[in-house]
Amino acid sequence: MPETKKAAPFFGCMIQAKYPQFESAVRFSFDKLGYKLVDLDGFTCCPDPIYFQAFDKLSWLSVAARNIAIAEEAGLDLITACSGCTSSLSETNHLLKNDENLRERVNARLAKIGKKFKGTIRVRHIATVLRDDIGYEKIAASVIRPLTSMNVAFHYGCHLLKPVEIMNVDDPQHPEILEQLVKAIGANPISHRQRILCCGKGCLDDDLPPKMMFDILTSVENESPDCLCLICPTCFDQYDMGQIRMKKIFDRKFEIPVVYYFQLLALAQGADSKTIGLQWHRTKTKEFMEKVAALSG
Amino acid sequence: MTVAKATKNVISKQSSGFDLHVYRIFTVVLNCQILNFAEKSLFTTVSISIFTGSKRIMVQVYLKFRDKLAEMIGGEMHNLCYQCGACVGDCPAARYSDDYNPRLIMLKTLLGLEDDLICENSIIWKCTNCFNCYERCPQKVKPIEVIIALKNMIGLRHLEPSSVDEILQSVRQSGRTVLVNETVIRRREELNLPPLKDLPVKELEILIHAEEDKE
Repeated sequence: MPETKKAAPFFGCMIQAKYPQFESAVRFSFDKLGYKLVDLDGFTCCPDPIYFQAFDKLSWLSVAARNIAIAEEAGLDLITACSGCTSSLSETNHLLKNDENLRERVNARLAKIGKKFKGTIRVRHIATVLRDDIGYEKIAASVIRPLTSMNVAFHYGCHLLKPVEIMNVDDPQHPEILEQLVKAIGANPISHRQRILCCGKGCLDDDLPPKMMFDILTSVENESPDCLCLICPTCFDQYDMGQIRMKKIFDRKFEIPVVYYFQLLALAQGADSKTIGLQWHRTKTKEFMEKVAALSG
Repeated sequence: MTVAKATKNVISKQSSGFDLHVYRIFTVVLNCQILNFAEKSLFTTVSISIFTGSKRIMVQVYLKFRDKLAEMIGGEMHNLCYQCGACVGDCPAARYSDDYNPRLIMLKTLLGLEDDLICENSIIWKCTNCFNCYERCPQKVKPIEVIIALKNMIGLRHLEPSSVDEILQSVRQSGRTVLVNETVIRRREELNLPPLKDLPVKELEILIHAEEDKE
């Protein structure tokens, strides 16, 4: 009998302290897929790849390396459930494995708290674990309620894909991983024109991000999907709350329900609606909630 | 016309799309001259003369700033920019704003125009952090990484925007960017998730506050 696959989950601040329903959905799904998540103590913020890194890169690398060192001590790969955490932890892992000078500088700091970065584990985005360790077929086999009635638009988000040499997930211009994941749960994947446009979350400006959001939401709306599916809680934050901001800024009402991929996967695997927590989302439509109710009822 | 004024003049003309052909020749000449400047470490600035059409313009390059930038993580690669503009086409911030242009930011690093970049409300904060320029750059300059290095220089002068400080303070105080509130505690209970623990902020403080290896 093959050994059960296992790794340490890194959920990050956004999921753990703002959208715990995503954590609940991930835990439910991984259990159904027979993949063991081994929780480790002591993780802090990844830390934030935009603002924290902008303040001081060496501090940013050191805090990220501390998180990686905890997984190294346990001899487990890290699975990140947020593309922002992936960005911080993957880039740190990559830089410190390849740049001896940087590694020494970071380890000099880590030594003060009795830790060391060794470069012995991998940091993996949760979507790649689904694709590469579990496989689309096994995901499909775990589905007991295929979402055949649902048209699911998807949006990638920058930090899942770029930089390619570090992320190594998919072609950033022509990605297909999310489309395949949506297909695996029986839903109809809906592409849209701006599917790889940046959401603007990392831009410190008042005007630009809303304009970018407006274009993406218009592009999604043109395809009339039942919902918009994302693989990152920060993207979720941007689109779920963002639609309310669109109303204020442009007086334009968007009503596109937004979901984190694992909520749909868990739903398809038989989770009840409480486990996936859709009731806490800001943008809901009657049609979508009825489809979800029909599936879970 | 003073040297500094002439420099600014060239930059402002280029930024308004004045004459891209002249602009490219200008920057290539500029970079070649600086890179071939064998004894450049003896100088903090060099003046070079260039021809733009019929005019001869003196341009001053502030090498000291470039040296400082090169000491920052990711900053040294700015030296390799040859101003091809590949970073611009796919840049969402350039597409959605009138004044953000990653090539111009790189040109300013080549000229060493510290005051334009390291200041309050610097234009570089408009970067969306999408990494498209990282993918596009044929010289592997990784313009986003140069921009992050510039942001770090802004941090050293404590001129960063308040939102950067807010995130930093949140991490230092709680170990998280998102503060734990009653709602999330209740929701985690409803979902049968483990309660959130206090995080080792003292360790973070040691890692963040290691000032001695900063300049």
